[in-house]
Amino acid sequence: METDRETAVSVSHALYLQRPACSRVPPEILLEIFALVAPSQASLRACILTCRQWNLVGTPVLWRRPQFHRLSSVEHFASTLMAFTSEAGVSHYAKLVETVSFSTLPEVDRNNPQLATLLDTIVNCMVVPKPSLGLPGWAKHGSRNLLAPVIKRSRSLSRNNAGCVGCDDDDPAVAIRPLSATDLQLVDGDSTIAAVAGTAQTVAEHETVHERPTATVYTSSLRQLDLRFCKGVRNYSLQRLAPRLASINVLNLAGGLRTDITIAKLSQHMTDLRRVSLAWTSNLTDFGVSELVQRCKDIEALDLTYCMQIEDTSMLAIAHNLHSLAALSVAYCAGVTDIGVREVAMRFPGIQIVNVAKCLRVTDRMRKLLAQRNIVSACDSFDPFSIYRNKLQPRAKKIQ
Amino acid sequence: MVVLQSSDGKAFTVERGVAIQSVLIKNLLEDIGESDEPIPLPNVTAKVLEKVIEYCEYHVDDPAPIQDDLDEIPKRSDDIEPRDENFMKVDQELLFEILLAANYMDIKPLLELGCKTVANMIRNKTAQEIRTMFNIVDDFSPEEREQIKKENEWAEDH
Repeated sequence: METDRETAVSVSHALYLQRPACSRVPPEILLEIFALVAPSQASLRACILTCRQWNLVGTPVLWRRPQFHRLSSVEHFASTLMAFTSEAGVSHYAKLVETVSFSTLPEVDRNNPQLATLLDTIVNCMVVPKPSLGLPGWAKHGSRNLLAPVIKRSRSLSRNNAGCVGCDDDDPAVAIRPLSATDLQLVDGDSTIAAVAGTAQTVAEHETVHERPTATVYTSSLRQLDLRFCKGVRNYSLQRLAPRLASINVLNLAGGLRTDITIAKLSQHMTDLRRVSLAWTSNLTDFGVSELVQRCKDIEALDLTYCMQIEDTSMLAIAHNLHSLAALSVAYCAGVTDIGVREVAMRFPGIQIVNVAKCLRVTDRMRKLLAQRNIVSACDSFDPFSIYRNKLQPRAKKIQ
Repeated sequence: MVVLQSSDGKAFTVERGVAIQSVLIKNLLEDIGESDEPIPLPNVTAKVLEKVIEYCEYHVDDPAPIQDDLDEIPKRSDDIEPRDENFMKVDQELLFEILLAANYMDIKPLLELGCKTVANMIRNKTAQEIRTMFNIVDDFSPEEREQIKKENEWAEDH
């Protein structure tokens, strides 16, 4: 028996060796090759059309970081995702996408308002509501407490939002009081209290459910979003999309005419951000930066190059809120002085870059100090991604 | 000196420093200690092993590869040294055999060189050209191929 099996093994091994070497290449090596081909997207596409094995290995590489060179490609991409999206859930293609970047589109396409609709379609094909936060849990008291911080946050930003009834107090009774008063007029006798209590409970549940859409948590495979200089994606569309972008770690909004409010709304939802670029955002002030760093405390790299309105207040907010900053660029920010730079440089032992190129109010003494601490004080500030290139350190999963 | 034996029984005597560029052999030598017994490499033929040894011989003084922790930059394949490029000018069957041997023997720089060479050959080719070049059998059904073509139509170049 043993010898039989051995013979069988050696025969099959011999047969295996007879196959062309190309077909014996294991998937992990193919993957390595495809990663090298990937910058030339059309070549990679040719690879996945050669045979089944190459298709199986190459498809995830192709879909992980799609590159678009014209708007029609984005349209194609979005409609392919749409075609595969069904009631059953996210399609196998949508699950592969990790990066959505419009930065390789020509300027005219980046400024096309249609881009916002396409981004909307793509993101909506990718997201699923987080299962752990299903509907029945919402109405219960236990989950209410869990939600309190979320509600409080949205309250701070929607003062002029009339629909914010349930958010006015953490005690559900307050919101219900006017309704129960009306009920009291209609119902008389001893049954009143019980009836009111019952109604109140139902109303409370309805109210809670009604408020939920703003708090629904979504998840998706999307990790990086690059909308640099994409004025076609307006602030309004971006804000509306914010809850669905919660999974993002890397965000580039450089030169997109973003405002403080947009940044504040985005940071409310995108609390997992690790690298952010808001370079060339002339409307950004210390308020926007503070909102961002207070909510996204895990930011490791922050690009504020050419944000002309920011001052030392931003630097202090950065120093006091972020805990693992490795790179910061405030190049060309005339409002930043030695005080702010010192605060940031002293705060983070692991900081590698504090780009203060062309900061008129940062003195040479400060630059020398940075050099002494082996902190790079000037680097290529034009490419917003130049400070993002250190690999993200794997982080322990947060306990939900 | 270390003796390596190919699958077809040919023995190659090489210097230790040359042989241990293969992590497989390095670990083996550490486990069994110094020995005059030939090390059998049942997955590598003499023709391929000869090429692999040739590579290891002229890379014997290379510094250890730098561990790069750069993430975003796409890996390059246009940085092959002329000598390595010439070394890899072999027929595609042997090229893949070298690649497989480098993988089996765990010689990282050679594996990388092989991957880069293949990637460069693939670049700017059509699916049919790639199939012809590497003797790949097209095992798609016509409908399947049409479908995949359609689903990936967005992926064009400039």
